[in-house]
Parts: sequence; structure tokens; C-alpha cells
Amino acid sequence: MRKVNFNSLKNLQIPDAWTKKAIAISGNNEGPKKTPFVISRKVLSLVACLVVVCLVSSIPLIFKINNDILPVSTENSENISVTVSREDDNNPAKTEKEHKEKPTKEDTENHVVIEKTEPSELVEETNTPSINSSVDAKPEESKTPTQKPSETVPEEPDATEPVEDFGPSGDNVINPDSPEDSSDTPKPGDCVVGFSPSFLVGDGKIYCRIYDKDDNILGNQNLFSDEHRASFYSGFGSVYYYIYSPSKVGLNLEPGKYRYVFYNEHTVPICNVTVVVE
Amino acid sequence: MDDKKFAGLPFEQVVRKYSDTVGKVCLMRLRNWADAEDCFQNVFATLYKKSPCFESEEHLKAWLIRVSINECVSFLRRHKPLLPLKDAVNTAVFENHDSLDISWALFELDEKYRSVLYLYYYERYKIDEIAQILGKNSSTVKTLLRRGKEKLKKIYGSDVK
Repeated sequence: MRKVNFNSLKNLQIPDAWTKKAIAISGNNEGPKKTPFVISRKVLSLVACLVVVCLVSSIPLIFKINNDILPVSTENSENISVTVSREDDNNPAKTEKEHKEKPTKEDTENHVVIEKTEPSELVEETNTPSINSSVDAKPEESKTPTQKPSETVPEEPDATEPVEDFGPSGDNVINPDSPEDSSDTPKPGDCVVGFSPSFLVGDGKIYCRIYDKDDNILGNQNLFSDEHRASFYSGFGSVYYYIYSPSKVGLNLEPGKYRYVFYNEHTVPICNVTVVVE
Repeated sequence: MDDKKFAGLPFEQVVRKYSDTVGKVCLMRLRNWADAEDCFQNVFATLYKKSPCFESEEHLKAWLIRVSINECVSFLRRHKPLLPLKDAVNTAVFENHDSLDISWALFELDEKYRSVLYLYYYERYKIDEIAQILGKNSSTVKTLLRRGKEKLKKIYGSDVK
């Protein structure tokens, strides 16, 4: 058998130029030849997806932050039920009955609010809730414990002002001409108003549940019963206002602190109001 | 010039001593002078830049061979071969078709056999050492060696030892 060898390979000479160039590396501190940095399509698409996901996920967070800034209840808080300050103050008939007070927002203690204000009166107040008060307010109506009583007086519905366009469910519309609104005397804890961005409303059914100081639910345990149905209407800047009057469903509140939580039909709490009944 | 040492040797000495090994490994892989030169330079540049610690010169040599192979693989990934295999073999290194000298025949084999046969017959590495350099299993290296020899035999005929 013949033997094989690698003589040619052994005799193969690497050019001196290669060696000299390699030695020169230490003098030049040259690194290895760099290939151009190319971002693959997969990496680019992955990064783009991540950016989009981050943006989309941060949108509800922004709304939540905005919502938190708005008066939403916590326990010792400045819960504000907002009302209505009328835009039109030139109407003397109305100015007799109500005047704006400094909002309870200034009160860090308990406060309450609102009573019967018609939806048409409720307007663009999103940041500065104000409380209707009237000289004729009855003492048993809700007041703040501080020196600033917030009292309201039931008002006659204003037939001249049309009701604003409400949300999807028309049966929640508060009709200013409705006889029951005009004649009933507000009871303690009535006409509590909360507000939140409109996108939380969903399909338009709003429910309100009242919790006492021990977090017990008052009234029907079933949230979606008619007893808990609240009214709402659209306000300024995609904000919706909600109204609930427990006395209309037979809930008479004893003096104390209560928490009104408004839910949409997906059981998502959209607004919290703390009410002190005195 | 920096006073970097690699297994106790200055950089210039390492280059002179192992340029042959590195150059031939690159040639074996790429079968092309120009491409082999690029990878050759990159190997020593990497050595200088990274300056790893070596326990011995054998360790240094094995590292150089491994890095040479990796450089060649990266090079082939980035650059499509300009010549088809047949032309590359014909125009490449060897023109001597000595029936005993099978150096050129290595270039006709697949690169996986080439590396193993070169390291085994030319560099005189053992199977375990080849396995470590190439990052393969010992049994895989044995199989590649056996199949490579069979293919060489086909090229030269069965009377070749």
C-alpha cells in the first residue's frame, strides 16, 4: 500500500506580509475588522411591538391617574359630590335660591353634598365642585361638619332649559319636568353626585351602592337591582355625572358616614363619594 | 508597543510562531487566499484585544485554532462564496496532483472532514483534543475521522494507506 502524506500542505508558506501585518496590530491597537451593525427585521419588529404595547397599556393608567386626581373617595377625604354651578347666573330667579359656596374641597374633613340639583343645572364643573346652598335649606339636610353648611333647596324645574343629551340609556335621563323631582323634599343622603370620565360608563347603566362606616352594604345585596339604579348625564369634557337618591328606594339614612360607590354594568367601580349625614 | 504576554510569550513571538497554524486552518476552511488573510488578521487582532489568560502554550495554540475556525465560520456566514466549489478547488492552493501527496485532496472534502483530518494528521492532535477544540463530542470526531478517511480513499483508490 502506498503511503500518503501532506507534504504540499506542510510546505505551504504563509506569506510574510500576513505576519508583519499581524504584528503591526499591537502597534496600531487595531481591533478585528468590524462588520457593519445591521439590525435584523425581527429585532426591529419586536422593538416596535414593545413600544406599541407600552403606549397602549399606559393609556388607562393615564386616565386612572386623572381620575384619581379628581375627587374620588377615600375615607377621610375630600369627597366631593359635585354640583352644579350654573352657568347662567344672570337669572335672578335662580340666584335667589342658590348661591355658590366655596367647594367642600377645601374641607379636609367630612362633607357631603348635594341635593337636588337638576341635571340641567349641572354643568361644566369638573375641577371646582361647588355646593348649592340656600337660605331655606332644612336643617336635616346633609351638611358638612365644619362651619360651612352645604345646604340646598329643592328647586323648581326650569322648563325653559332643555335637558342635555344623555348617555345611551334614556331611562336614566333626569327629566326636569318630572313631577317627582320637583315635589319631593330631599332627604339626608339624597342626590349624591359623582363624576368620572365617560369611557368608564360603558353601555350606560349605572348603579350605586351605599356602604356604611363598617363597609356593610345597605339595601338590596344585588347590585343590579332597580333599587341601586342611578341616573347619569353627560357633562363638560367627556365627563359624566351620576346621581343617586337612596330615599327614593326606601333607604333612609341615619346620621353617620356613608360611602356611595357608583358602578357600571360590568361591576367596575367608577366613582366613589363619601357622604356624612347629620 | 504594549508588553502583553500570552502564555509567557510576547505578542510578536506568538504571531511568528503560530502564523503557520492559523494561516493553514483558515486556508483549510476557506480555500481561498484572500479570504484566509482576512480571517488570519482577525484572529490575531482578537487575541491582542481580548488578551485571555493561557495556562500553557498548548492552551494558546488550541485557542488560536478554535478562534480561527470560528472566524472562518463567521466569514462564510457573512459572505457567500464567490466561486463554486469545483472552481475553488481548481484554482486554489495546490496544483500538485502527486498521488502520494493528498494535501490538495483535503480541499475536495466537506469542511467538517477537512478540519478533523487536518488537525489529526497535520497538527497531530488526539481525538479528545480535537473534540475540545472543535467543541464536539469525541465519538463525533471519531466518526468524522473515519468517514473522512473513507472519502479520501475513494479519491485515491483503495491501495492508499
